[in-house]
Amino acid sequence: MFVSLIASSFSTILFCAYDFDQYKQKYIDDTKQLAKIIGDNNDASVELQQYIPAQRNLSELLADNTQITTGAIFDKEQRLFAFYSLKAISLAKKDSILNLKNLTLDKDWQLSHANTIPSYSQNDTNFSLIENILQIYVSTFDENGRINTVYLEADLNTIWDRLTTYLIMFTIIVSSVLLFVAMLSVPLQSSISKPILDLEKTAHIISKKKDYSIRINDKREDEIGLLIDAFNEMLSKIELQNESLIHAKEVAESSAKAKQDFLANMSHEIRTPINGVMGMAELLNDTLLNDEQYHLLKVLRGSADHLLVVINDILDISKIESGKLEFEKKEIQVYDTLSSIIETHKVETDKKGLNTILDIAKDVPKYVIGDPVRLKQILINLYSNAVKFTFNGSIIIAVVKVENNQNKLTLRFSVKDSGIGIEKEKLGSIFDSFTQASNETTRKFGGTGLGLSISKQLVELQGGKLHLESTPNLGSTFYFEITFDEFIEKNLTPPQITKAKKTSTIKPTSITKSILLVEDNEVNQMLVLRLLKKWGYKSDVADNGLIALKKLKEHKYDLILMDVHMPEMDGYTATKKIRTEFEEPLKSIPIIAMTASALKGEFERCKEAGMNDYISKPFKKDNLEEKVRSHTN
Amino acid sequence: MFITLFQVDTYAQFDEYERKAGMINTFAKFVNWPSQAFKEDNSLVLGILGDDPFGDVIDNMFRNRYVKGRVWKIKRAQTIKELKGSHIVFISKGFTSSQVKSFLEEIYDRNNSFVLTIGDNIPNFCKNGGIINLTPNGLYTLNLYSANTAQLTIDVKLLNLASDIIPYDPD
Repeated sequence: MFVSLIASSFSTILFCAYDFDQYKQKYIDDTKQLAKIIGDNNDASVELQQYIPAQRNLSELLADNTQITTGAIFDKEQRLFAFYSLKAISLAKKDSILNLKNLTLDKDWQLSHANTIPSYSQNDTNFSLIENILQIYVSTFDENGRINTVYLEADLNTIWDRLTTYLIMFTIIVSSVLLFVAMLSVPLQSSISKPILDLEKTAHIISKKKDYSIRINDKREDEIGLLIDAFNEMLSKIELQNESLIHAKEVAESSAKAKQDFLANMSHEIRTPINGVMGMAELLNDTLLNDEQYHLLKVLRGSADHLLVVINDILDISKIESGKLEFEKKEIQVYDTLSSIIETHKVETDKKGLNTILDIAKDVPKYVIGDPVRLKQILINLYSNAVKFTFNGSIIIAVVKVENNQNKLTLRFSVKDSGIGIEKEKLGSIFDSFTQASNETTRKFGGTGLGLSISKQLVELQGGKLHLESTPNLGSTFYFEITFDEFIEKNLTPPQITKAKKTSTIKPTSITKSILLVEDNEVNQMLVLRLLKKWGYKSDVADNGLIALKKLKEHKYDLILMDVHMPEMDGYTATKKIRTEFEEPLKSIPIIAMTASALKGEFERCKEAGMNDYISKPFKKDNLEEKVRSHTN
Repeated sequence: MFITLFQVDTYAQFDEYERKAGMINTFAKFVNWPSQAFKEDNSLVLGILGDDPFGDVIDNMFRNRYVKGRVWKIKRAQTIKELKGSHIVFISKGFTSSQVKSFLEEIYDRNNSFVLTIGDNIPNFCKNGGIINLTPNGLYTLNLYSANTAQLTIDVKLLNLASDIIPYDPD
């Protein structure tokens, strides 16, 4: 509507302006033409100084022309030779017709009744719309010079009329265009705008509901029809794509899930036998052994420990990849953490003759708040790498404070060694999973190749970045920054004297407690039963949940140690049954879950099933003892 | 710019013969001679017959003036013979009407005379076969018949301005 108004106005104005200009030019030209005719007609009369014929000629030529208000002829000497005034003639017309003729030829009378008397000018044109006047001077020449000059003065009434016409025309055109557009737009609204608005509405609904099965049912044969077709086609494409995306997502999710389950099951399956191996080795360690046996046993224990490290690494990687890793916020004793790391490697460093320097800057606080386990894991990885690849010289672990504001504290840890270093082209890939400086590295130095990858990701998950600077044959420096919360005094948990220490002084309880072990693995059965016997408990064993439920009905127990993954009936189901189907006091008998799955969520699952506590395999015997005692007292 | 006052009649009064010289020039402009009238050179010859009333006025006035691209040439004589080759013959006052008559006869005797004769306020000049006679107050009479006979074409403007026109053979 607005557009058509603008367009019609613009075009009309343009037309009027053009037409006006043309008309004005024509008006001026016509007036000039008339003056030229008068000049040509009166060349002889002017030369022969016969002003009566000139006067007559002038009047005759101008009498019919009501626009001309004044006419004059100037002779060679610039004298006013003949004169005509419309006003004077109109006055004369009021008199008799006879008089009119005389007065027409009477120049002096006309001059005395005229509005204005023109002055001479050779050639001039003056057009003034405001003053409503056109004045022109046209001179006639022959070969010897100027003969005469004709002056005409005209009013611009016709031009004003024309302007009025323009205004009327403009009004008519614009209003009719508007009317026309208005009349057109009503039916067009329904045929053009409406479908487009519908389209827009549908698009809005689709984007809101995410329902791509919606289609627009409007069969048309015009461009809008094409638009709707295209829109529908686009929708079906999106729908197809969506379906395939959803499908792909499901596949990806289920495969990830499968991977998770596989890792969980595998780690469980592997941990269980390791538990047995380590437990048996420990029991064996308590027996009398000759030197050779003792040495063999030591090797056996070392291998078992190493195997556990590998399992933990794999598990960590899978946790990180599945995004299920969470960081704790506990106090960390900076110095203690670092010195314990150095201490655990002391045997190896001493053997290699390496010197380890711990360099903690003065302004590093004693405590910070963060995840001590993960920090230690990173540092152990870096330090054990340094120890592994350094054959002489020293390793420096340094900590400096980088930043400290708003209860946040950024520390930079660096581990610098004087080892074999890493070639420049290997620097990029050193942090990739299962990558080592070369394939030979694994054979030469051992290790899973996961350590650095895990460390890097652990640093990054805590908002830092692990850097490496290295020169082959001179050594490497790994360093990273982690931001901790500042430690405030009240955060400190008072050091607890563990119950295990208290109970380590074995006092045979007056009433011997009876414990039911529910476990399908024979080695573990043997191990746990031996330990329980050693700690002075009566114990019984069930190979799976079903058997356990049966035994519970027949005997009285004070505690159940429940493995979670078992054939026939697993620990979760058995626990749920005990908690729901049994009578008191059996209903609330303490149950400790024994799980090999270190995956996140496992403990929650145990709690959910109604277990009181849990211990993850492979467990340290002290740990198990403490838990058993706390639940039987 | 020259401002014209009310007294339009206060022309700078030209001398009578200055004005008549101007009229001769104007007639020359508005009269067409046939092309064979100009044989010798490209000039328009004015012959003044009798006592010259113009003096050097006409010489000064016609110097450097062109009529349809031709320059003026002025002859003065007492006889028609001497004025042979003139396109315009101005017959001054002071001749008797019979003298004038015989002059005109002599001029128009030959078929191809092509002469515009102008009389200086001579009575019966046009009736006797002269073409233009100057009358007082800057007026003139015109014998169209004589002009046709002399194979001259007169511009209608001259006809319009003439105070009297003789369109016929008075004989």
